Amino acid sequence: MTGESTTGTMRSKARVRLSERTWGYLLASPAFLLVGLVAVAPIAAALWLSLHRRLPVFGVDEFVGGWNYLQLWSDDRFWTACRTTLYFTALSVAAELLLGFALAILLDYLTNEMAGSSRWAQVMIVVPWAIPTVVSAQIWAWLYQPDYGLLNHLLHRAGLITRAIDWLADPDWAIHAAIVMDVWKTAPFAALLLLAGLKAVPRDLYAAARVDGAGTWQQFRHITLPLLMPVVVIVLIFRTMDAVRVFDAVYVLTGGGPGNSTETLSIYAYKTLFQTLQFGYGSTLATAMFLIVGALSCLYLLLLRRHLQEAA
Amino acid sequence: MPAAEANGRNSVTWWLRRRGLALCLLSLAGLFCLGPVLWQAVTSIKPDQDLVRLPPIIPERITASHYERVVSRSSLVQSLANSAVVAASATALAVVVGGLCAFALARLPIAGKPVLLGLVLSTSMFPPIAVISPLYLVMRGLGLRDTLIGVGLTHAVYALPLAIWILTSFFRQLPVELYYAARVDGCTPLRAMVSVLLPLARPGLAVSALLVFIFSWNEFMFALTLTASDATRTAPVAVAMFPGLYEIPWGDIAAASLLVTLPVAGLAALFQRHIVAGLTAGSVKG
Amino acid sequence: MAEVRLEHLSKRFGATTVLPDVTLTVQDGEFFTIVGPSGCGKSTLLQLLAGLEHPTSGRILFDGVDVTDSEPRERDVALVFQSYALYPHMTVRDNLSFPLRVTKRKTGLDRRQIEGDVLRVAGLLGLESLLDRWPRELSGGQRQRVALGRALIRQPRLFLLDEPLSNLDAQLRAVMRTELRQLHDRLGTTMIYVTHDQTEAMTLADRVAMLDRGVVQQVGSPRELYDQPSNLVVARFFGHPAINLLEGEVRGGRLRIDPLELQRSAPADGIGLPDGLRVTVGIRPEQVLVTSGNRPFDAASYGEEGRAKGVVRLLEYTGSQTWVVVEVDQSGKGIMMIGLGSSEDSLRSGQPVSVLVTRGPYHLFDMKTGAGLGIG
Repeated sequence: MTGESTTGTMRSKARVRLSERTWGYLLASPAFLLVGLVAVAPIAAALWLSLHRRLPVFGVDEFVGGWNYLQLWSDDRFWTACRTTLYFTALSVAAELLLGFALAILLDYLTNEMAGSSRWAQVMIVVPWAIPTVVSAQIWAWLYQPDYGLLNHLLHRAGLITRAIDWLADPDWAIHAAIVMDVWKTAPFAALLLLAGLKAVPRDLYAAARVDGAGTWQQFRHITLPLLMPVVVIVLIFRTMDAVRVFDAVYVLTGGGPGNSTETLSIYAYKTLFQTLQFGYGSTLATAMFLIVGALSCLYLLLLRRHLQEAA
Repeated sequence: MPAAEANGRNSVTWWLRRRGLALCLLSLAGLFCLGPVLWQAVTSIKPDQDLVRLPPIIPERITASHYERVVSRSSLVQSLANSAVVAASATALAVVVGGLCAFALARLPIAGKPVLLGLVLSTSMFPPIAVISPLYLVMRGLGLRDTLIGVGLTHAVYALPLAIWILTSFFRQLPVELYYAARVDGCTPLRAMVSVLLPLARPGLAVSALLVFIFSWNEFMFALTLTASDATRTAPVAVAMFPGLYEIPWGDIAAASLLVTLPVAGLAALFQRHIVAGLTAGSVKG
Repeated sequence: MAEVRLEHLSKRFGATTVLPDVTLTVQDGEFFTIVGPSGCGKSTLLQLLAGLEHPTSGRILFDGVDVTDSEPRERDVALVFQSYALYPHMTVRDNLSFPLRVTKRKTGLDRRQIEGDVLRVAGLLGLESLLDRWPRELSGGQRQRVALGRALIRQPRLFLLDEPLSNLDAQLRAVMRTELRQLHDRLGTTMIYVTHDQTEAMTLADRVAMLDRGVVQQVGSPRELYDQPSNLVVARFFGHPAINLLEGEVRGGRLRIDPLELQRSAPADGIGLPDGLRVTVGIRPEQVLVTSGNRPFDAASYGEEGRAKGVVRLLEYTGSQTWVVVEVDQSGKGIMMIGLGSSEDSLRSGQPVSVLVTRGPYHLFDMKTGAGLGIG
């Protein structure tokens, strides 16, 4: 007993006394170590590479400074990819937001009026979000199949088309086919976030507005929308970031084709890196993407700052 | 009195109509969300010869041959097992490491918290495409190329920002007095976290674990580039690279797709409520 | 048991200074309250004492030993929170034993000893039947007791209590106040009790420190703070209803108070105040009697020293007595005085009355700085 307690005190004396701050750094360090090793270091390497001309096949590896970035300027394929990416982003994010809003309002209504059905509605809405992107690309590739895909069949039966459309092989249709798939997969995500936002609006506010004589539309316009603005901004930023970087969805669905009609920046960068093995220029493309993502996020924050402040 | 009655009848029909409209819209939304998946399910049980003709939409004959083929003659089972190992280890690593970090960020006096958090979050903004080749070199340097550990580690790190974000907001929601009380009662910060805060932040742990698991299970690009053999290939990669000699084996792909989807879709449906809580942690409440 | 000394303690959070410079000594075994309005820095002070925050400068000594840089677990103090901070995932038993369990390695206590301590503390606070309940199943008062028990069980050398009673309803609060004081007298451990409630501060404490904007305004027994407030802030804070404050001036060696007609002038010359000095005069409401009509001066029965005419504006009936708010100034400046309603009268609002200031101290304060100038 006494022996035990003496060892106890000895041990506690021998134990290093750590201040709370030291504990903080100690506990946070594994995360930062891992992020540093597996994320920050490769990112730094990518930035460094983007200043090089490196073609391992030809044994070329030279520092070229900003030359790669200058080359971007005259690279038509880059600009086409930019346009494709921005087109994809604008259309899919806008559609996701609108559809997400509609779904969220529907679900919010259901939770208030028919609590039982809303649970199931939420379950069903979460399924497309949870499906692996690769799988959803396969699912839609099958729906888009020109000869015995369900989509052409249904459209034909509805009398909307007379000839089968080869959705993924037609340069005009392919990008839209990809957008529809992306919207299907991610609108639920937007809906879930917006729904949570809707539920966070205090019911008292609606009651107060009704007492003040506001109709349904006015309530939506003056209460729901302003209070939901922070969530909208978050959804916009998250979705834009993902849409600009889109890779697996389009890659599996169309591989960037037909022609280069669905070649987004990610796919162009991927092909540059792994098909033509231009590591330097590929990294430049990726960095340019990062800058675009960052610029768009800043733009959103700037444009919507007023709304955010109002809500706060 | 009659006016009130008429009014009442009106409001009943109005209510019915409104309810009917809502149900209508709901089924439409349901068709939109689940239709493609259901069609895939239908495809997976159609015999090969029926796949190339439409109508009928509802299959007249059904078969399990696609599933049999996928399970016995492809490496899908192996890749499902790989995915399970990768996702489980990524989840464990991300939650443990992320949890410690989140606790430190939420409760301990570290200098430059916003900077650190911003740094972690900005790594998730960088296009994964860009880091793939350097990452490949890092993994090769560590001897982890074409190993499940390499993929799991990568997934864990790229899911860390999410885990840290969610857990930090969960830790912050717990009253600070509980932490103080534990400290005064004689706990070190670590003990206070383990004995007091962690048990109370269990929902947050569950949510972040769930989201990390789903992320890792579904991730394609890293898994594609860091693996090179059937022994390490994860399920999404296997589905994307599904072998087709002369023509695309739609039925087999459908069966494989469903098998790959089932675990995550099941988890998501089961814990749908928690997922929403996790996705909105910090973003809705501010 | 510990004597606690704070030496030039200061705490800044970024640009805001919460505590500029606090020096205080709490005697061993004392029941010491720190009282002040919310935001005065009293909770920060407590956190510094507990070691949850570290001071920007200055020292903290327990029994002469510098603990400024010690961790909470090394200080051997217990802290009771306003929100109780019971661990929601532990039963009452586990909550009580937690401090012993986490320090098991240091103290060498075994399970049986811990269980014995739990039962002892539960017996002391009447918690025996609640040991297997969860905190969420307890009433506010019961939670309060568990929080106290968790503090008691380790037999710390210092108790810190942060507004422990303010989440209880008024009746329970009074009961717990008594119990707390008895507990202190039985244990003899130094207790530092932080509150914004002057009644708690006055009734519980051996000595009180009044804190305002991080600065200790006065330290002393409750009676000292009430009878000899060292400045206007202290005078205003204590007493319910609040002290009457009137403008006054020293003229010809005598104190004149604006709306009052003084019969016996206060001996301003006695305390050596210069002629022409403008002062604020504090008169406790219980020194003021409000009567109806125009009765003559009756210094004999009321000890009357000054009087004013006024109109009743508000009546506050408390049961044993009635407080009357009277507008005493006819010039329209709206000077109000509050005093005790005479028991013989039944006063109404709007009624003209006489305000009699009975014998007792006039508290004089510098009109500009609020510093106490003594008693007139």
